Amino acid sequence: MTGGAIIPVTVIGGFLGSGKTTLVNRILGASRSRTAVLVNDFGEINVDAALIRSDDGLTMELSGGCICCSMAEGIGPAIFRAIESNPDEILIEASGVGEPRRVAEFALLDRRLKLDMVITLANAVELSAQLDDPLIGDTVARQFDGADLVVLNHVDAASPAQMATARAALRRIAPGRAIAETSRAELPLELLSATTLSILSAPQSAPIAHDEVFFRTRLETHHSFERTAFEAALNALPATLLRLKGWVAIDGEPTVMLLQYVAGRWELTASDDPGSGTRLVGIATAADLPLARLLGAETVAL
Amino acid sequence: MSDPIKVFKAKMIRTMARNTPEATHVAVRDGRILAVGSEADCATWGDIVVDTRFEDKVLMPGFVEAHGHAMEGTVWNDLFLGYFKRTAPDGSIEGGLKDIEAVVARLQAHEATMTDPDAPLIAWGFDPIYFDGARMSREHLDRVSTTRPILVTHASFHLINVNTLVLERADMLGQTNVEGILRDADGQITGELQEMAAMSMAARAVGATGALRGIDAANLRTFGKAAVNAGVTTSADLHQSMTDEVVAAYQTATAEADFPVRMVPALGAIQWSVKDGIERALALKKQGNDKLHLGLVKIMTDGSIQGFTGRLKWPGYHNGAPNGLWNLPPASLKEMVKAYSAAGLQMHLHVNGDQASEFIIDVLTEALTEHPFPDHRHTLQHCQMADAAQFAKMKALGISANLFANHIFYWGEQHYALTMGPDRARRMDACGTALAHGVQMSIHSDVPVTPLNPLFTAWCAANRITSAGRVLGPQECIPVEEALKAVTSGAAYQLKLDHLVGTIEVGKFADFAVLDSDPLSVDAIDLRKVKVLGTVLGGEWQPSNVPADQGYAPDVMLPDVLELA
Ligand SMILES: [Zn+2]
Ligand SMILES: [Zn+2]
Repeated sequence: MTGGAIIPVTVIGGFLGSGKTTLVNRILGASRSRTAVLVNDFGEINVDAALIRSDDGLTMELSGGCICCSMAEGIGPAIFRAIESNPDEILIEASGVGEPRRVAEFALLDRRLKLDMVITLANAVELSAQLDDPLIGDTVARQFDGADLVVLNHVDAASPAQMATARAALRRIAPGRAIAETSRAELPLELLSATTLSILSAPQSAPIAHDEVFFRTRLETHHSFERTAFEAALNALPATLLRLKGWVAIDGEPTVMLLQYVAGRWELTASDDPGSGTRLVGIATAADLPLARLLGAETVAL
Repeated sequence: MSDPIKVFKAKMIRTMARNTPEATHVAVRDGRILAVGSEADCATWGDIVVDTRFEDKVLMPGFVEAHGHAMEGTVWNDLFLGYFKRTAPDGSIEGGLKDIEAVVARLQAHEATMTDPDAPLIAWGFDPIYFDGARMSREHLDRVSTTRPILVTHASFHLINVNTLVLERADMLGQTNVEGILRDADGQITGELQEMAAMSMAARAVGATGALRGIDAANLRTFGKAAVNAGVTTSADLHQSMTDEVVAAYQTATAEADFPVRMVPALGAIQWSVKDGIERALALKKQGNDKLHLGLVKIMTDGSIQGFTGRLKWPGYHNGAPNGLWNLPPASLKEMVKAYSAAGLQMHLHVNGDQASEFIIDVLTEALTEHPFPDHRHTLQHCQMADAAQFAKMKALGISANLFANHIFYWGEQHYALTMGPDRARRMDACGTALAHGVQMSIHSDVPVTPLNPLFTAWCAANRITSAGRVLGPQECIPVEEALKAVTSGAAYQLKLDHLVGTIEVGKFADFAVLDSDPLSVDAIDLRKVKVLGTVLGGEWQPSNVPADQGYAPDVMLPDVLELA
């Protein structure tokens, strides 16, 4: 990518011990792009921070930086420094008590940034006890506000009873949100990668991983969409569809357009792709998403 | 034959010490108190020369502010827009702006004096909670200027107002779906911004560095002026990064012969990893000089009550606002507090809400049981909602309380109506309960959150009068003598400097507050009218910058107060 490109931002939230740093490391370990990482050293008292690979000079520690009784500037300066390092992507680990939604506002506000995805992790073993703890219950619950994807992590360590209460708790505090269950935050990299089109070159198969957590969905059609109706359909897509990417034929446009959809936020831009017809690939936490019907291409698909 | 001994003669010397509580003469040698009592007592040490400049004045130990911030030395670079009058370090009076039109007029007048047409106009202390719901919009600020960026920070620090130019520069006018950009009923952007993202983007767009400016030697000199004006000779600076630059600025300023205040900066633990912070604080303890005392540690736990970010126990905020914010997960705070205590480092712990104070008391119980720390003097700062049960535990553990007495005047009405409700508001900053339980106590201003002025802080603790004139919890009022102890020997104890300052006793620094009248012979309600004329630091006279004929700040309307009381 070039220096002036808009930088996608991924925000990872979740309480202490939910697996944020595992996920950060997983993304960094697989990413081929220059990723600036903002980690919260002090929230996790150094234990997790030591695990974060830091060989590219792009890792920045966030200081608590609050003064008495006043609104902290918080992560603002670190984000501005990260932008100046011209990365392809920015990955922010919110603090253990931080609200990822508030961190994500930076990406919504700064025109050099775009918000890619807000992911909040929960610890399957501890979630319901955390929510019942008067010291932290409300803090934990607030971290799910604005999450595009909720990851219920450490499911391998949870008893069936713990799983049942954790799932019930998430239905209550994160209603309607896409939820994925993992053991060590194993999210498919094509879901996480904001900058590549790898999602399109992946082989056709569903589910993506062996554990039936994420599902790929495809749409290939010669139907050409009427723009207003297509945009309305995009705005009405279900929360379980996390990412949708590819080319769309729009009535009256000379060439197909590039669609980049992430969790309800989307861009439709001109493309120089010589192909014709609509070719879209999505990743969802629900199987058998009727993409053709949802986008209004049903008649052609029949 | 050495020089004769300098002896100050005063109308009255209130030593605040058990031994010789009242005196007329104090002898000084090498910046320290050699003798206190009568002229004859002083003369037993040898030849004396009596300095009579204070012979119709009253001397007290120099006041000690155990919870202030040297940031007071930077905020006055910007324009103050407060509802109540406030004394600037140069002695001028600012603020006292009683409606939005007055605020706009002040901004316009200031704008007219600015020479660089591109410089941003930055202001602070705007406090619309007194304006019956009236809000400032960008139209108000556009009347001040459409070509110069304007940024006004509210007293709560949780909101800012900007003019249209700032919204344009920060590219905010077309924004949708951003919670931090507030809109009116018609959906128009008002220019009020909240939340860290919108506020820091706006600050960046105007080139303002925001609240977290670093401290330099010039800022410290300005803080020194504010201290002299208030009779303060020793002050904590209760949250500093304590990086090499900050320490160097402190060393530069305090090494100057005329630097007029002893400073006690605390390392903000949240800005360091636990291991590095402990190492840093232990290393700092060995540095310093007579005017610089290092090694104190500050721990932040929750937010503020007026900002609805303090952590409260049941039943929570009176207006139903959600519970507040922790700066770190409680489990991490616990690990941090136990580690610093085990390392033998004294901590000042910011706890506003009663859930935060209860949690920290529990953590300290564990910390002090596992690693006993005799004479630790850990101090709960603000501790605004502690009740008798919490004070009883604090007494048992030897924990001190530094209560935020000024809150009663500045935010008491807001606590009564919104945050606490009448019952809990009446026992906020419960100095009376703390004393009844034998808890070692001080009171503070948290300057620049409220003005640095220990006599006013003592007035607040003794009278508990709100800005509307309500006496909020008379049972928590304390005698003037106790309030004055709190701002002298009580504060000195909490900074572990009571062997050096806090009373007028032989061997301590010759640090005095010079007053025009005797605070122990006026009525409690008139304590705030006792005028500070300056200080003596290490035996050297430091005159106040406040003109002799200046009115009182804050501008409390005393007739109203008395009527309502
Ligand atoms: Zn504080
Ligand atoms: Zn403070």
